[in-house]
Amino acid sequence: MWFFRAIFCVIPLFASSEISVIVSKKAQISTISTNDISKIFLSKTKRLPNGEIAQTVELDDENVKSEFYQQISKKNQKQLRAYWATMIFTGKGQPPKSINSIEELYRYLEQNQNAISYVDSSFVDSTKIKVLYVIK
Amino acid sequence: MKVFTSAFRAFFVSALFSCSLFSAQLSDALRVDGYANFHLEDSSRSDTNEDSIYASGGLQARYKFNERFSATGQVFAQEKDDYEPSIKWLYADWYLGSDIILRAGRFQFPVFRTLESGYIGYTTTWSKNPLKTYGVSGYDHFDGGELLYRYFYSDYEFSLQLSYGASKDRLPPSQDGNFMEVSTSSLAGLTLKVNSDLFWLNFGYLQAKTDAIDMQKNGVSVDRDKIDFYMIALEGGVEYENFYLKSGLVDGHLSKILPDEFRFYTSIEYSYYDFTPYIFYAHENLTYKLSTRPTNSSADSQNQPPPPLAPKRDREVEKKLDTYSIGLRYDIALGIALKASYSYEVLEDRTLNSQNGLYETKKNRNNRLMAVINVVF
Repeated sequence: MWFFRAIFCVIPLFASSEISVIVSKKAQISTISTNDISKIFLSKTKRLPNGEIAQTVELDDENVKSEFYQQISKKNQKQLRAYWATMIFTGKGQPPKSINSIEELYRYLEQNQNAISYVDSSFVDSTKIKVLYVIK
Repeated sequence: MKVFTSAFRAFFVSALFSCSLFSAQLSDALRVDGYANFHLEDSSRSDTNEDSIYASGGLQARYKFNERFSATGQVFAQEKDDYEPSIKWLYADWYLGSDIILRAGRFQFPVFRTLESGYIGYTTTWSKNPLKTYGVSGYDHFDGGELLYRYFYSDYEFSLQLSYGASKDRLPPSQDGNFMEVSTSSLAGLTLKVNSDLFWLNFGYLQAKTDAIDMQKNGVSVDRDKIDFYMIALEGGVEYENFYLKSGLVDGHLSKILPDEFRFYTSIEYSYYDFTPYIFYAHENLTYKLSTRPTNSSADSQNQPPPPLAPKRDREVEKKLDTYSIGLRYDIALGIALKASYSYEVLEDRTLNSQNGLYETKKNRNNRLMAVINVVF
């Protein structure tokens, strides 16, 4: 398991460092602020900017995760792990649902119009998903 | 028995270590998380019964019925209780919209932010919390309901938590084998928090009516007075660059049956890659104001009528503890932290001698070394 994770984590090193925040093509929102992204993915709010309940989901890719959370929360992976431990065990929040492959992620977004995620921009397929924000 | 305990301990820790390699999300709806703490401790005091090696851990399961409704349960076990699991949290929560959550079930006292999850070592930098877990002489949970509300303004997050419930607990037995049952009713709590990227501030207030019953080992129970108690806590943290300063105080007034307590700590830590050195100072002051009735030991209870009750006598005891600590946290891997610390403790017992009206003071000094492994999965 660790072997596969290690291999998987190396791939994004060769990819773009831009991260796109994405939703389903059918989603009722078209823009989002960095402040909202931070609140939603750190489980501080359950609401999308349009008032719907957000379903956060993320790809199981440690490199992109690390970059994304560094940008939105200024926390490194270990600080983030401690943050989630506090949130989880005191019932204040839950981390995003984890998904193993990009195909599965796109399928999930397609089926859930209030789902929101982020991916390395080089993986963006604009025929399947909508980009709300690009983190550079 | 010792061998069994050690074997169980080894099994407990290795099982939790193994579990840390697995994902906690078992399905779309079910999520299981856990934690373990393993302590190795050396204290220069020889008059304490504190264990030198001990472990604790817990498991939490959360089932999400839909986006608005979920149920969560958390059990906790520690060596001190022979690993008999106790329920720390057990509740259902409803998301009512507009960032309002209603919960019903069993909760930890909501007064102090850092210590609400203090028994999960991974969530803190310290080897040992600067303060003992707050609560009423050790019990720190209640059954009831909570309302949580979050509001965002600019870069600030404000949150309000209202708690209401009741609790019943048995306090640890004293040396003579007697113990106390404490029933708390009308427990009401208010917690206000403000957060930003740079700082957080937490204010907590808790009040309740308490009914304590002395349970003697011979089966006799003595009902004590009903007591109102309240606790006020203020805690905050400031983050600047890699420095993190935290400080907090809690003032609890329980009067008569249990000690009044005042606790304070301040801590500073510096994060350097996977290493986080820290120092802290903590002060605890417990004041017992007990009204006790002296017993007449010379009476022969078999053949003579019981003697008239002696008048109640006030007894005042003050216990102070100052702790100076230096330590290091090393995040060896995601979900596993190693910690080491040295603490210098000064304990002072001050008792009012009712015979001569003078205070007697006894001071003890203690050096404590600790090594800790904390795991979450």
